[in-house]
Amino acid sequence: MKRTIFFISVIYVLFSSCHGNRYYSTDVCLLSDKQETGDSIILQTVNEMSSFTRGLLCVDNYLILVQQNRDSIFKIIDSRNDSVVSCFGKVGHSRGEFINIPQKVYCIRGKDGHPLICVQEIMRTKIIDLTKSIECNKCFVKEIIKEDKDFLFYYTYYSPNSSCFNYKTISYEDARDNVYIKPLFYNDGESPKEWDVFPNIITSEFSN
Amino acid sequence: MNVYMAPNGKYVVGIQNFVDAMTIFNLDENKTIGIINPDSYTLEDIESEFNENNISEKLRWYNTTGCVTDQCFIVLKDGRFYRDVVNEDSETGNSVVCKYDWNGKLLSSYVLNKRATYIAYCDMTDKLYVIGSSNKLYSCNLK
Repeated sequence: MKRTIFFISVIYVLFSSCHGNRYYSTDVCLLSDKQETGDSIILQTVNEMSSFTRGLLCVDNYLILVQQNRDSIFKIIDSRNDSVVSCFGKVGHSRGEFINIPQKVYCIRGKDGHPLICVQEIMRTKIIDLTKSIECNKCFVKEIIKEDKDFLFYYTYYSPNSSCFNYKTISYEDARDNVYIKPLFYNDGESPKEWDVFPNIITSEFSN
Repeated sequence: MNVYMAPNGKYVVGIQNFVDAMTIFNLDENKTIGIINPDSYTLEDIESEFNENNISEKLRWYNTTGCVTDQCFIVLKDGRFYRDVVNEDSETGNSVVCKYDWNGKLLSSYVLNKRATYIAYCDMTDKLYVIGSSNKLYSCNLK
């Protein structure tokens, strides 16, 4: 009986040990289900875009398209009827404008529950009040947060509870192929935390 | 890697492109959950088996992009060899999307009839929006 329990324990440790992997380490590790072929879906055309789309986001009932259009960066569509409700955002240097077509865009909900669009630019993040921007058909920047981090290698995500999640991609000191970098993930704010998801960088011939 | 934060700021997911793995960061509980495809090669395999001569034959583009809501995240999967992805810009072909809850449980998966480049999901209307390679906007209802 003791021997059986011992072997079961050994097998359990082996199966649960993937979160102790040398190169990938998480608190819990799940093996994804086999990809059963799901239902087939036929997509319906909503719109043919006049500008090239650089990003697609949803928050509440709004679909936000980030367009390669210097005079109309954000196109907002109401998902209840697929109608365009607003277009705003220009390339420029004023408060409601952007240095270039944004690449790092995400949505959060403010403390009052209103949807916000966050745009990370060089050394700053602009926070757009989506509801007001739709009402005015003009980019209404609610807040500008200055960054002290390098824009090129950091993704910074501000959350509604005022903390800040950071994803550091690569630095000049670590100029290796994209496949082999060791990303860093950490949280700023009242209770800072770093997650060592990739504890080691692999050493292949590509890293030389 | 593509990283997305849920609008409520409670969860972040990092979706790896070249290894079929996703990492959920539960910021409230300070917990990470890894979801790994057991059929994918691993970082250890890359270290021991990949080299300049065979990388184009072996490297796969597993996950293209993703999108998030407060309740779930969706991953646009591919799985082709990377050499085939970079030379292909047609919408012809299928895409697979997999919907997960923030505990890492696969809720559903669907096969789309076009090759997609961006996705977004509205959980209020259950609509998935897709941008195809030809820059058209499509939608469908996830049942």
